[in-house]
Parts: sequence; C-alpha cells; structure tokens
Amino acid sequence: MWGYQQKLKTDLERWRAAGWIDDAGARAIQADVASRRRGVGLPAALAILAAVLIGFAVMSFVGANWQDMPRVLRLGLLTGLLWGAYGLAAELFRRGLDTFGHAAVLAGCAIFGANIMLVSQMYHMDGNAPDVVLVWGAGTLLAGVLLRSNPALAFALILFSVWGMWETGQREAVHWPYLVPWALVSTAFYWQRWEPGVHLSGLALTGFILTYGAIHHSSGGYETVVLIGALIGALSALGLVTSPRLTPVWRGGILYALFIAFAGLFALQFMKSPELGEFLVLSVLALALTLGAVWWGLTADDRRALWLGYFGFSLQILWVYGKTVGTLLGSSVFFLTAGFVVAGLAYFAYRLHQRRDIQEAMS
Amino acid sequence: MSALAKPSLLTAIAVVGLVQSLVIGWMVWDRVSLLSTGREIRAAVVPVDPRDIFRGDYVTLGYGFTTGADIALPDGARQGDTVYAVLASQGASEWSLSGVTDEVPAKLAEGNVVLKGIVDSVRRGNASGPSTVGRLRFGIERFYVPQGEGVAIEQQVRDKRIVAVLAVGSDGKAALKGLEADGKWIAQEPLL
Repeated sequence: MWGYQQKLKTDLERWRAAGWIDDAGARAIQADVASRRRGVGLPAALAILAAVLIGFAVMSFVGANWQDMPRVLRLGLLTGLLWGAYGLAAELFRRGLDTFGHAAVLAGCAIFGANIMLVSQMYHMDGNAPDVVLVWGAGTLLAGVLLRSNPALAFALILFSVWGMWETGQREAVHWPYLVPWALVSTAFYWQRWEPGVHLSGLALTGFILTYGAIHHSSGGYETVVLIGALIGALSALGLVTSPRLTPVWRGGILYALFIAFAGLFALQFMKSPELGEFLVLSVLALALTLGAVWWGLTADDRRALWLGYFGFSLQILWVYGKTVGTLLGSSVFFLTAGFVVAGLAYFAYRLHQRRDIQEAMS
Repeated sequence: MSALAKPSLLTAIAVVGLVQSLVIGWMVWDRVSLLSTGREIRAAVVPVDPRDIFRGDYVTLGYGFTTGADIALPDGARQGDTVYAVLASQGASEWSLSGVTDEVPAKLAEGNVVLKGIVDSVRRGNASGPSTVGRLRFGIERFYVPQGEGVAIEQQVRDKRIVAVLAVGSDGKAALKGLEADGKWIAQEPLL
C-alpha cells in the first residue's frame, strides 16, 4: 500500500504537469487512497508478534523447573492461561479492537499447544509426536472457523503442514491424509474471502505436490508434477474464459501452475541425469515456460508471474551453464542458440506490440 | 467488532475455550486412569541424557527387551505402523521379547504382558531369518526431570540398578509411572 501511494504521488504530479487533472482532483484522489488504507498496520503487526512471543514464553515455561508445583496446580495454571487469553479476546472484540482480539485468539491457540506439550511432559508421554501437532492444528482450526480469525486459520495451516511433513519424513511415503485438513483450511480461507490465506493454501499444496515428486522420483514422480502443473494451468485458463467472476482465483491458479510445472521440469533436468537429447527437450520446454510466464505477466499485468518468469529463466540458464561446461554440447553453443531464440522472440513481441499500437491508434 | 454479532461471538469464544480445555482434560484423564488401573510391571532400563527444546530435560530410557539386535516384525510392516509386542517374564524386572504381532493377542500366557508400540524403522531381513525386521518404540522412552537436573540424576543413579515402573492397560497401552534406583523411587509424584 505504501509503495502504491508513493507511485501514485509521482504519477499524479506528472498528470498534473500534463494538465490532465487539476490540483483539487489530485488532492481528492490522494485523500481517497489514504482513507481506503487497509491491511496490517504497525499496531496490529506488533500485537500478532506479541501473541507469538507470549506463546513461546509459555512453551519455554514448559522447559523451566516447575516440578515443585503439584500437578493439579500446574493444570489449573495452564487452563487459567488458556481462558485468560480467550477472555481478553472477547473483551478486545467487544471494544471493537478486532486486530488485537485476533492476536489474543492466536495467543490462546499457542497456549493450547503449549498445554498439550506440558501434559505430555507431566505424564512422561512420548508417543507419536506428529499426532500432538495434528491435535493442536485441529484445535486451532476450530478457533479460526468459529471466531472467523484469519491469523488462527493461517496458524492452523502451518501446524497441519508441519504434521504432514513430519509424517512424510517418518514414513518416507506421501502422506495423503494431509489433503483433508488442507482442504478444510482452504475452504475456510475461501469462505473468509482472505486472499493471503488462499495464497498460503496454494503454497502448501505446491509443497505437497513437489514432495510427491521427490518421493516418487524413480517412478515418474517429477513427470507427474509437470503434468499436474499443466492441468492446473489448463483448468485455470479455461476458468478465465468460462467464469470471469472468479478471475483472481484463476490468475492465482495460473501462477501456481507455472511454478509447479517449472519446478518439475527443473528437477527432471538437474536432479535426475537424463540423456542429452532428453535433457535438451526438457531445457527448451523449461525456457519456453519461463518465457510464457514473462508473456503472461506482461499481458495480464501480473507482476508475480513476471518475476517468476525472470527468476525461472535466470535459474534455468545458470544451471544449464553449470551442467554443460565442458560437455559435448558446449555451453557457448547452447547460450548462442538460446540468445538467438530469445532475440527472435523479442523481435516478434516488438512487432506484435507495434501492430497493436497501430490498431489502437486507428480505432 | 468482529464479523460475528456480540452474543454469538461470546458463545463462539466459550465453545473454543471449552473444546480446547476438554482436549487437555481428556489427555489427563486418559493418563490418570491408565496409571491408576493398569497392571504394574517393572522393567530394567539404561538411562542417557539428551534434551528436548520444547519440553525441558528428560532422560531417555533404553529397555533391555528392545535394544540390541533387530526385532522380527509382522510381514510387510511399515514405519509408523502400530504393532503389539509380547513380553515374557524372565525374573523380577527382566523381560524378553517373545514376538511382535499386528493385533492384540487374544490369549496371553501366564506372566506375559503385551505392549502397544510403533514401528520406528524397518528393513528387509536376511534370507535365512524373518523377512521384515526393525526397531520399535512404545512411548515410554522418556522420563522428564526438572530442567538441568538430568545430569545430576544420571550421576545419582550411576552404577545403580535402574528400573522403570510401568502401568500397562489391557489394550497394551503403557504409561511410565516412575523410576526406581536400587529399589528407591526417583522424583515420584502423585497422579494429580
């Protein structure tokens, strides 16, 4: 938001100098933007950080020497802390201090997790550790849904992801049950219409798909990853045409599809050792994909896709360089070819723009 | 004000607090009932002293019946699976592993006990032996001690015979009641 306001200020000055808007108009636009400032302000950010710190404080308390206290007193203290956090949340919501209220809910959820660990310690329980994280995540999800608390929902997704990764690590197999809590939290994010949350879901699912690829790397895992990316991309492109009402969702889908497909192609080229011919095909596909991301970023005015394209392109080139140094192909030949191809594309794009500009000028 | 109306907000907060408290309460009840009604057995252990970043200090207990050689597991057992280990008494606090099954055995020989465990690691056995072997854990391998006292307790009990006192339920679930050094309790606590 701050960046937008700065950019708008310089643009307004330019437009004013050009005589397109007058002083009053510029002031009205600036006032309107300032009044619509939303999002996380400093106090809210500090409140959330405080909640995280309080959570950690309770967890460190677990490690402290409190063996002198009878168990029943410890349990009373823990439950009191839990209810204290929720009581504070209720009071803050009542006063209309919503962001602080959500921070208190987050602290409550952190204390809930600390309580589980404390009870485990008190009774020398050493069961399956991921189960503890799953229960913690479920309690946090409940708080997120019932109290419509986005921070709690985000925390729940993080906990479920820790659970999924932990189970994956222990069993050395894809942990399919992860998709159940993932779907629940994602639905809650969508229901809340909270865009950062939907992105968090996208990231979590991307991580899951890539983990699938890594675990099944010897039996077509990464090929499947590329296919999934292509499928998500195709569905999102179709959605853009058939259901424009959900445009932000489809645009997000295309972004993740690009990322997933690129990650899959990248892994196929560099984590496995394909034959030269196959490697070349994969390289060309990966480069085409990054150029496609740049094209989409420019066409749809999506800066994230643009950066993904630039980043992917650079990464691809760098790794190809590393791989082809001193090989039959020779890195110079590869870069020369790639250079010509990209130059050709640049020329093509320039002509396309020119033609569009002429058409626009004529109409 | 939150997206919810005031009365429903208060109800929602109360429900969240109540459910989370019930989860904690259930954990405590589950343990306390197992510790108070489970069959009490004693098993010799060897302690070591690591540390858990979130849960303070603890002593890791090595049980004689699971250390050493790989354990024969049910065919096709995978890491993370629940299994049941049948222990045969070899004296006051000595037990030997007489077998591992994937369900609670219907009948137990006199003096034997069954422990519910999780497969910790798996590998293929030798051609001559069982097809699947691995390691098990039972959730009774950690004894928490006051922070910083792990080393002191270890010195206290050095050269002494350490015995873990366990409560075992009929479903094989085990809970650690406490430790004894030469027959004397270490850091014993009431159930509540």
